[in-house]
Amino acid sequence: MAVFNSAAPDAATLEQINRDVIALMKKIGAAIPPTFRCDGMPIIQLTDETKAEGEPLDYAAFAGRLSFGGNMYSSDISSYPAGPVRLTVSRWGPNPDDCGKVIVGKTDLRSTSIGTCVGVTIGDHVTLGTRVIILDNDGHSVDRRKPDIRENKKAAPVFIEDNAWIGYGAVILKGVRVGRGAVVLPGSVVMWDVPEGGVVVGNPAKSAKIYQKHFSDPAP
Amino acid sequence: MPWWTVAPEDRAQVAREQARTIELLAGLGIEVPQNFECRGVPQITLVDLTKKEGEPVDPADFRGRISIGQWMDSSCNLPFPAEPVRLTVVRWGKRPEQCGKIVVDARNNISSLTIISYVGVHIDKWALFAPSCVIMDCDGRPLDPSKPAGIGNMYMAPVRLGKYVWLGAGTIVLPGVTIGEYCTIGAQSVVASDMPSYSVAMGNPARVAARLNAEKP
Repeated sequence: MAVFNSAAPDAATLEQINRDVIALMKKIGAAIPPTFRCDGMPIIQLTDETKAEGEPLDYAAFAGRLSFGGNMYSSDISSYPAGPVRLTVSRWGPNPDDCGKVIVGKTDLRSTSIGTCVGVTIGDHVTLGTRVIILDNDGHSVDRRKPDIRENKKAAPVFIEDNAWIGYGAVILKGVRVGRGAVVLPGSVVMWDVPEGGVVVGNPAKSAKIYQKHFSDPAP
Repeated sequence: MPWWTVAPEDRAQVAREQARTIELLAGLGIEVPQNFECRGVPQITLVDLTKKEGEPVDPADFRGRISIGQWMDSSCNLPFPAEPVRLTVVRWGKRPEQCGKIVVDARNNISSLTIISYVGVHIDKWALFAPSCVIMDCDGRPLDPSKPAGIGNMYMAPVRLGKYVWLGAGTIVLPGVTIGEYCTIGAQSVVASDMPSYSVAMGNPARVAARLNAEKP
């Protein structure tokens, strides 16, 4: 396959970006495959809530919490609106598992935003559209009179199983399991589990069966 | 709580952008709140429909029509897909009130928010905006395409956000909507109708999904 992209950087620049990102991954103890490719800097934010304001952050506390089995596309040169991969990992307790986790199988991240404090697991050969947001917690207390501590953020792990397909701009919320081969149509906001092979659409996302007639009608 | 990001802040650049922002705000006569801080430079657009194409816009015509929060983040270095802050005010008549107005309480952190105003957008204290939200108080064109594209044929109505409102990422707030205090709106919602205080709403169009206890948290 040969591609022409008028916005693509030249090969030397790409090589340099690749080296920079691999060095960054090493620095924060993230696992990457030997074939790792990327085309831009991700935005990675590590937050340690167990430490006081102003204390230095210890990268070692986050070692092994990030693992990528595929490539990571962070540039703005996609055919769709794109942008950097954004990973926000927070540690909220002293035990090894009191911390966000991102485990990605043989799947490429494309401008994906992930916010985690318990765990986001993505299987193999998942197709991710650009600008997908995956959150395993609410980020703040839904009742803003309560403090933004972990109990109020309602965290629950997210699983996206093998061969699933997540469309452009979809949002996957806490506690959701997207089954094997399931399809989430673009722009959907997924609050509930998607069964194996299921197709969901909308905000909040519901089974797309009701649209089956619409999709099967011949074009006018 | 310590945090670390790959895009570490270049203090000199932050200071430069802050100086540019303050210069921009001062040039437009926008009051800068005490302890103002910003990242990146916001995009502020003034549109004067009473003037002819090509005539220069006089910022004095827009004096007092924009007030901003103590923190403004246009850097896009945020956890979700983000845009710079974009504030647009449209003057459509010669009388003082025939002009958009963006009233943001100084006790607000505005990040990656777009506001377009023809009549008035009012934001009470300590609202919380996830990235890429859009608030508009006018449709921008007549709903009926057979009508001429004049200001009189456009639906415009003020938008109000109560204190401690939280808009999820990518939320769109449509003209005439009042969102009551302590409301939480889910990600990528389209808020087309009023939301009573203490409600949790989501969806396109947004519907109330739960209510918070108004008496105690």
